[in-house]
Amino acid sequence: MKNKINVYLIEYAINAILRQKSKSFFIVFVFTLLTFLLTSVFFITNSIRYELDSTVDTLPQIIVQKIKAGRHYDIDVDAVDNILEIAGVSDAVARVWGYYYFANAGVNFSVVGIEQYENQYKNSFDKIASKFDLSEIDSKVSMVVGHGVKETMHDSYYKEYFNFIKPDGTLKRVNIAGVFEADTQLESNDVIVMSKDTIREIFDIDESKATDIVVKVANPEEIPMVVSKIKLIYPDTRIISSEDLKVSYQNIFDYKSGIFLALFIISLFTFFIIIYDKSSGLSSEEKREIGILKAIGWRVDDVLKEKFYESFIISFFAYTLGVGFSFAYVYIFQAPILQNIFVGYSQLKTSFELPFIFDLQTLFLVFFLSVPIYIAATIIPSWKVATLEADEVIR
Amino acid sequence: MSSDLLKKKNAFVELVGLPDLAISTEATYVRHRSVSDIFSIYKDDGTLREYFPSTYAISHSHTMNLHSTNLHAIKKNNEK
Amino acid sequence: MIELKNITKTYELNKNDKVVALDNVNLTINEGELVVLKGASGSGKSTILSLIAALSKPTSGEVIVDNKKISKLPDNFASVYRRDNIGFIFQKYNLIPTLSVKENIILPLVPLNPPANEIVEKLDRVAKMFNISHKKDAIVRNLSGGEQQRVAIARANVNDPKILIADEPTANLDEKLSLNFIEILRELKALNKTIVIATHDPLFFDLDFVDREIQVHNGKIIL
Repeated sequence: MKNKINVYLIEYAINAILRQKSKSFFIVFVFTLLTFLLTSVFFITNSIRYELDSTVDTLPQIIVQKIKAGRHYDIDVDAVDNILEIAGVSDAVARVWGYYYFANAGVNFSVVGIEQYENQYKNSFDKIASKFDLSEIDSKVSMVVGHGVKETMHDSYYKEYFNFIKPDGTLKRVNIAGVFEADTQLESNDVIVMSKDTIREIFDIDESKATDIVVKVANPEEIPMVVSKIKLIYPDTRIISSEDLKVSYQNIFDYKSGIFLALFIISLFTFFIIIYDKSSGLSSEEKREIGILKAIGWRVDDVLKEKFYESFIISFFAYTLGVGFSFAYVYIFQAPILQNIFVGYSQLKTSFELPFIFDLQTLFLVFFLSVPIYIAATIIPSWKVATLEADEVIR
Repeated sequence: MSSDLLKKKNAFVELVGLPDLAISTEATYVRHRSVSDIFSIYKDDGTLREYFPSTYAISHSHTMNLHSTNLHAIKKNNEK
Repeated sequence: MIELKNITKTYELNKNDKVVALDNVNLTINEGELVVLKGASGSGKSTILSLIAALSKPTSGEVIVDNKKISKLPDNFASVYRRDNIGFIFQKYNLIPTLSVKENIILPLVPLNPPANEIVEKLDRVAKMFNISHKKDAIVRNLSGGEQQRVAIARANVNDPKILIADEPTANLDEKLSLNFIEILRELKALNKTIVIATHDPLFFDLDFVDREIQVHNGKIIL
C-alpha cells in the first residue's frame, strides 16, 4: 500500500502543470531549447569524432616535418635514406603536398602527390573514384579530384581540365581524370590527387626537396624509439606519430574556448536565471496553495512529492522533447545552420553526412545538467513554504 | 556507417595519407590541424589571432609542438 | 474533549512590536457540542480556531484534543491530525479556484491514496449532502459565493471528521444564503459532530440548537 504509486497525486501534479498554461509552456520551451542546443552540438561533435576515429588507424605511423624559424619548411629528400637505416623502419617515403589557392572562386584545394600512377594504386582508385580511366592517366598529365573540387571547377567552366598557375605565371594544364565518390566527401571534398612530378612543376619544388616524410615501422611497439632516433638525427624536425594523431583527434573540439564556451554560458545562464527566479520565491498564489493543502491535512512530504512529480514531469517531458528534436535535427535533417559553425567560412562547402552515433554518455550528461537542477529549484522553495505554519501562509 | 563505406574511406585515407576532415578548408591550420604548427596563423599577420569562425569550434592540435620542444627530455631518455 | 489550558498567543510583528492575540485563555468544549464564539474582528476568535485545528501553535499553554496534546505535535503529525479529525470551513473558503468542484472536494483524500471506489463513494456522499452534485465538474472560480461555500463545507466533511470548525462562515453571504448555512449546520449538529464557529453575525445568536455562546474580547473569554 505504502509503495503503491499515488495516481491522484500524479493527476494533481499534471493538473497543476496544465492550470498554469503560459508559465508551463514557457518553461517547456526554454528547457527544450536548451537540451536541444546542447545535445545537437554534442551529437554533431560526436559524429565528427567518430568519423575521424574510423580512419585513424589507416594514417601513417610517423610523419616527419622540418621546422625552420618556427615554420613548416621543405625537408631534404636525402633524409629518407638516413631514416631507412634506422633499425625497425620498414619504409620511408618523401611526400609532396600543399595547398593551391584558386583565386577565381576564393577556394583552397589540398593538392596531394603520389608516385606515378602505378598498378598498386589501380585497385584503390577503382574503389573510391568514379570516371576513372587508367589509360588516360598514363598518357596525359591528369588528376583525380574531390567532389567539391569538381563542382568548383565546373562553376568556372573547367570541365575536362584545369589550368594551374605556376609560380612564374605560366599555366599548367592538368586533365580531370576522375572524381572521388561523393560519399567520401568528408575526407575527399577539397582534395586533388596527381603525380608528384606534376605537383613539383606546379609549385616549383626542387627534386631534392619534399613536404614531409612518412615512415613505416614494422613493429608498432617500436614507434616511440624510432621517433626519438629520428629526432636525434634531425633535431630541427617535428615528428608526429600515429599516437599524436589520435590525441589530436580526441581534442578536436575545445570546450574551453570559442563557440562552445559562448553556447554553454548563454544556455546555462538562461537556465540559471529561470532557476534563480523559481528558487528566490514562489508567487503568493503558489504559497497560498501549499498553505491550503497543509491546512486540509497534507503533510510536508505529500506537498513535496506533488512538487517533485510536477517538476519531474515537466522537466523530463522537455528533456525528452529536446533530445528527440535534436535527433531529428542532426541525423535526419543533417543539422542545418548549426553545421555552419563547423564548416565555417570555407567557400568549399561540404555536405555533411553525419554518421549516426547513439551516445548514452551525452544523454546522461545533458540529463544531469538539467533535470535534477530544475527539480531541486522547484522543491527547495516549496519546502521552505511548506514547513511554515499553515496559518501564517493562508492568512 | 556501412562497412562498405568505411572501407572506401579507409582506402582514400591510405592513398592520400593525410589526417583530418575536409569540413573547414579556409586555412591550413584548420584543414590539416593535426599536422600544422601553431605559428601558421602568423603567416597571415603577425598580430593576428584567430578570425575564422571554424577555429572557434575546432581547436588547434594539442600535440602541436610537443616534439619540437621536448628534445631535451628525449635525449635524456636515450642516455638511460 | 477539546481543552484549551492557559493559552497565550502572541504574534511578533517585528522585534519590538508584539500583538497579544490570546491572553491566558481556558476553554473546554465537550463532544457533540456546538459552540459559537462571538466577538469583534481581531478579538482572537480565529486564533482559537486555528489553535484547535493545529494550524498554529500557542506561545504558551496547551491544547488537548481527545487526551492528546496537539499543541506539541510535530508539523507532520499535526497534518495527519487535521486530516483525520478536523473539518475546517475557512472564511475565504480557501478553495483552489482553478480546479473543479470534484477535485477540490477530494483534495484531503489525495495523500491517502485510497481505492477509486472509496473516493467516488465519499465524494458522492458529501456532494449530495451539501447539494453540489449537479456542479461536480464545474471550475470553482466560476461558481457563486454560496456554491463555493457549499464546496468548502463538502471538502471539510469528506473525511467525516469529528470536529468541524467554521470561521466567519456567513461573512461573504447574503441573508438568504446565511439562513441556508444555518440549516446545514442544524443537520451537521444532528450527526453529533463537535462544532466550533467563530462569528459576529447576529443570525447565529439565540439559535435553539446552539449549546453555548462564548464572548471573546481582546484575547480574553468573557463569560
